[in-house]
Parts: sequence; C-alpha cells; structure tokens
Amino acid sequence: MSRSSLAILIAGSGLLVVSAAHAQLNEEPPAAPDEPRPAEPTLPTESAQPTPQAPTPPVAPPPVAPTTPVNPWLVRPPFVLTAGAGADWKLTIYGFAEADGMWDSTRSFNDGLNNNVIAHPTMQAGRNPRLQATIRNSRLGFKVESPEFHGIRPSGVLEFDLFGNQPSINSGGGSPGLPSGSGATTEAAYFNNAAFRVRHAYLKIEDDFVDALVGQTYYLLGWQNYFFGASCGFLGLPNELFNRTVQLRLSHSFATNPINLEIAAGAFRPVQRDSAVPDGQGGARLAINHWKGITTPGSGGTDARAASIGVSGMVRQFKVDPHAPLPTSPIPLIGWALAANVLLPIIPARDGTDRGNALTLTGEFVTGTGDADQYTGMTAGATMPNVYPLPPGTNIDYQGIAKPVSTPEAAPLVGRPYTPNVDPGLVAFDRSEGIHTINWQTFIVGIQYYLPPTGRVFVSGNYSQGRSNNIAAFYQPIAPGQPWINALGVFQSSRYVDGNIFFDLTPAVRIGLSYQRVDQKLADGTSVHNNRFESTFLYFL
Amino acid sequence: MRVQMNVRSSIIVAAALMAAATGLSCYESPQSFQPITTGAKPWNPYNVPNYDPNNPWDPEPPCVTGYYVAIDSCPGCTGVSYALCTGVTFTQCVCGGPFWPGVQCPKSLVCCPNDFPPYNWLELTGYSGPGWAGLSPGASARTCP
Repeated sequence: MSRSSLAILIAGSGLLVVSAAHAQLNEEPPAAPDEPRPAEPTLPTESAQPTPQAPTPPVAPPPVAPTTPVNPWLVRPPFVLTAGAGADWKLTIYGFAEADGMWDSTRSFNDGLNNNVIAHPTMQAGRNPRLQATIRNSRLGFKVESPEFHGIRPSGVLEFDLFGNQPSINSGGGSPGLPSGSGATTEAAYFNNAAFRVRHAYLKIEDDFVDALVGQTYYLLGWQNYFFGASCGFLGLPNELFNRTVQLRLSHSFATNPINLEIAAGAFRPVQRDSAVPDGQGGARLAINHWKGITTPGSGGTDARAASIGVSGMVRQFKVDPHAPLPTSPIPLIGWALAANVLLPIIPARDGTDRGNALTLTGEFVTGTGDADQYTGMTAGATMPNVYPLPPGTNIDYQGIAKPVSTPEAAPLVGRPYTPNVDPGLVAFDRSEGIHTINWQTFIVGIQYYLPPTGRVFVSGNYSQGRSNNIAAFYQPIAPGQPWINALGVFQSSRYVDGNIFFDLTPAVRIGLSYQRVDQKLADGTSVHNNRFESTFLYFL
Repeated sequence: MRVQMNVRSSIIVAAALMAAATGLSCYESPQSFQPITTGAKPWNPYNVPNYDPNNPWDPEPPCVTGYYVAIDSCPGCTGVSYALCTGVTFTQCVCGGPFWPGVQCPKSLVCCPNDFPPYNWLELTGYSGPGWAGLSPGASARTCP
C-alpha cells in the first residue's frame, strides 16, 4: 500500500519540527478516539472500549459486543451534529451551566479557593466573613472530528469557561491587602459580567503509531485530568496539580485487552519566556482495563475509568535577571517535578452507569522545585522585588515607601522600578541576592462513594497537604529597604480537607453541598484557617 | 518495515530534540556562585593580602545591592577595582571598566580609561575612602599606563 511521510507539526515556538509516517492502511480502522473532556457526558457503552482517555491502540482490540447500560436512567447522550454525505464530519457540543454560592469565615478568597493565601488574623480580611455567588465555573465546549485521511484521524477541541481575565475587585478580591486602584472593578461587574476564557484549544492527529497533540490543554504532569477527585470546590483543589498550557505532545498507547500502557512526552510553553527554551514533560501510565471505578473529576463528568497508576516528570529552565543594576547576565536555574498518581476502584463498576455502591480512591504525590505554576493560583504569596534596593539608612514611611535619594552624579538607581522577568512564586532572592527555586512537596487523596441502589446520591472527601522547606527563609524581613517582603502574606505549608454530597435530580441536573477547610502556616509562624460552606447546581448539556 | 523504522526514528529524533531544547546542558547548580553583574567574582575583604586585623573595616558599612566601594584587591584585576554589595554585605568584586555617560571616578582616585565602576552602579559614599576595604593609600596618586 502507499506509504507517505508526514511532517506533523511545527511547534509554536518554532523550536521543534517532528516528522512521522503512517502506514498499515490495510489494517482495520481502530475505534474512534476520545479526548480528555472534563465533565463531558459519555455514553455508558463507551466503557466497553479502551479507557476513555487512552489513545487509539496500534492493534485493534478484540471486538466487544455492545452492552446494555446497567442503569439506563443515567444515560445522557452526547449532543452530536453531523455533516457531509457520509455524516462523517461530527461536532459534539458539551458543557454545563453552573451556579455556586459559598460562605467563607474570612475574606481571603474569590469563588475558587485554589491555593490563595489566607489573610493574617491581624488584618481586617482575616477577621470577618464573606458570602459570594457565581456562575463563572460554567462551561461550553466543542469537539470536531473530521474524516480519516490515509490513516490519519484528525480532531480538534475548543472549550471555554467564564474565568476570563478581569480586574481585581476594589475591595481587594482574593488578594488580601491589595489596595484598590484604577484597574479595579466592582463586585457586580466581576460576577455578573464574567469574561470568557479559553480552557482547551488544540488539534490532535492520531495514527497507528503516534498521536500528536498541539495546542492548549492540561499539563502532562500528574496525567491530568485522569486522577482528579470529586468535589464541589473549584479545581484545582489546594495542593493538587491542575493547570493547562500550550504544548506539543507525542504519545503512544501499547494496548492489550487487559492492560494499556501509555507513554507520552512533550515540549510545553516555557514557564519563563526569557529562558528561551521550552519546558519538558513526560510520563507513563498503566491502566487495567477491566477493573473500573466510578469517578467524578470535580463536580461533573461522572464515568467509569480503569484502575490506573501514573508517573510523570517535568524539567525546565529559568534565566532570572539579578536584582541589581542592569544590564548583566541572567542567572540560570533548573526547576523540576516528579509526580505519582493512582486511581483505585475499591468497589468496582461494570460501566459508567453502574454507580450504586461503587467506591473509588484517587491519590497524588508530587515533589519538585520551581514548579508552583503547576498548581492553580499557587504563588503562596511569594512576591518578587518591584523596586531596586533603597540606600542604607533610608527612612521608610508608614506605607513602606521611601523618598528616592538624589544622586545627580550617576544614573539614579533608587526609585526606579525593578521588573522581574519571571512570574511570582517560582523563584526567590535570598539575603545576598542569590536566586533560588522554591521547593514544594504535596499530596492529595480522595475517596468517592456512590450510594446504593443507583448512585444518584454520592459522597466524597479529599485531604491534601503541601509544604515548602525553603520559602519561609526567603520571606523574612531583613532590612527596611525591602518593602516587597511581607512575611504576613506568605504561607510555608497548607492543609485542606473537604466533604461533599451530590444528588442527581435528573440525568442532566446535579445538586451538591460541601464543607471545605483550609489551614495554612504563614512565613511569620502564624497559623490561619478558613472554613467554607458551598452549594452547587449544575445542568449538563 | 522501512516505514516503521522511519516512524521509530522520527519519534527518537523528536524526543532527543525535546530533551536538548529543554536546556539540560545549560544547567547550573543553584548553590553555585551567581555573579551580580557581568564578570563579577567572589570577594572577601578579610582575605585581601594587606588586610590588617588590628585595623578592620572602619567599620564595615551597611549597604544594599546596587552600591560599590573602590578597592584594589579584586583577584585578577589591575588598577582600581570595585567591591559590590550583594544584599547587605560586600561579597563580590569586579575589575574597573570603560567610561559610561554619567559615571564619575570614585573620590580621590585617578581613573584611567578602564578604571570606571560597573554600569549603573552607585558609589556608597558613607565610607572613609582610600585606605579602607583594602585600597592601598597610594592608589590615588598613580598614573595611567
């Protein structure tokens, strides 16, 4: 049969060009691939296919007879439009409308807890409660599949939510102590006029040998979103890997009837563009296909997934401008992370509707340095300098602002802003202006139990911990000339626990109630906590 | 078979490119010396050849990054060199360099064309001048080569 080579993709950075070939046109076309679509409804009959996120195997698995859903009441068919003479152009529309209300014991957070810092108890925000209502977690997605061409199966995904870039609320929003400014907005505008945000935008090209994904989707570290736990809280939960970015990913699944082994590696958008090299991530995941558990990543998308363990890693480079007069040579540093994940069906299920009395455990352990961006909103309050050092003996006013000293003989250093060339939370300067990556170790475990007889009611709980063994040393006030250091607004460790109950009123309507507690130890040694009660209402498209 | 080998080769090449592009070859330990300006070297005032423990820094002044004092003890340098404040102490040094607009030679010294302080750095003026920090008393009287 004909053979041809294909230059698959050119990464957006232009750094990588990968060529591949496809062949074996006389083989049977494998089953249609599935994409990682959080909260996307899936037909229960799909559970008889290879795992929902597994790419197409190079060898077609043995034919499986269609099965009847264990509980047809739970079936929510996907919204599919077709076009073309053979109806082989397919558009799947998915998503959900969501409304949430949450009461917090402090004024530390916006609608998502994520990994934000709890306000210090000496501050107004740390002493008073807050109530919020939001629809920003609503979601809309489109998946397009076009006809196979010489063994290549192309598809694309566009998915959005309403967490788009918006100014901070003028009361300070989720940033304790943040003063209002000209760029601030009102609470009403923030919640009622929520802005569109892209979550996923990628194309995927699959053939029998290698699958290539180009665009924005989840990071590979932690094999997101396969191992997410169930919670009313907005993902990522505290100390949970959860983020997305632009990437070029190559993967392959070695598939057999009982076991799938997937390997993947990719070049990712550099966390610091001035590093001038992409981040690298890779991993392997083993799935036991006939041992399935019911799992809900977040608050939607309940389905059966195969028992699985995954390992993954990341390496990246920083080149940070010194906190000193420029120009000078940037300082190179390496960041890295290793993650291990597990999804364990303790009481397994036959398909995605076999939910009654199903019990599933999820877990994740991560260690790394310079990897805070892999967690949602994770800076831990670690700020970078925003001004050059003030001269010795400078008097600081009550706002931490000093009058620049006149130095007419030389270019004025004092009073000029220092602009970091890296996002906050990843690296920090020590007392001697040496730059270091910030270390983190985290773990999270989750349990979800679907009550008999049908699983329309289910409960879940999650517990997580995170700790940095070096961040506190970098954020102790050492001189009055360094006003950007705020030991009251940096945490060195955190714990999180939640308990949730969900009820499926209809196959398309879900109601959830949740209690969530976050404890943090700040860099000054103070222990703080926040209690949250949350309700969620979802309508799945 | 040939096509399959091409496929495997492509995967290997792609993986190698990714690993190379990640920049492992540029790795430096975060504990290694980090120069605070181009060409800076480690410097310890207590290790300079003419350091007199009976007449130490007079006293060592407080400082912040961005300020220098003139010395003549930076390893490998001739003429005027400069101790650079890193954080709150002087721990690095650099040889004198070319003139740049706005720069002035530290007080009481004669700067030759390549004796000027590093770009954009400021002189810490609250110290006692030549004779302090290892600067030889005769430095101000030297002539340019």
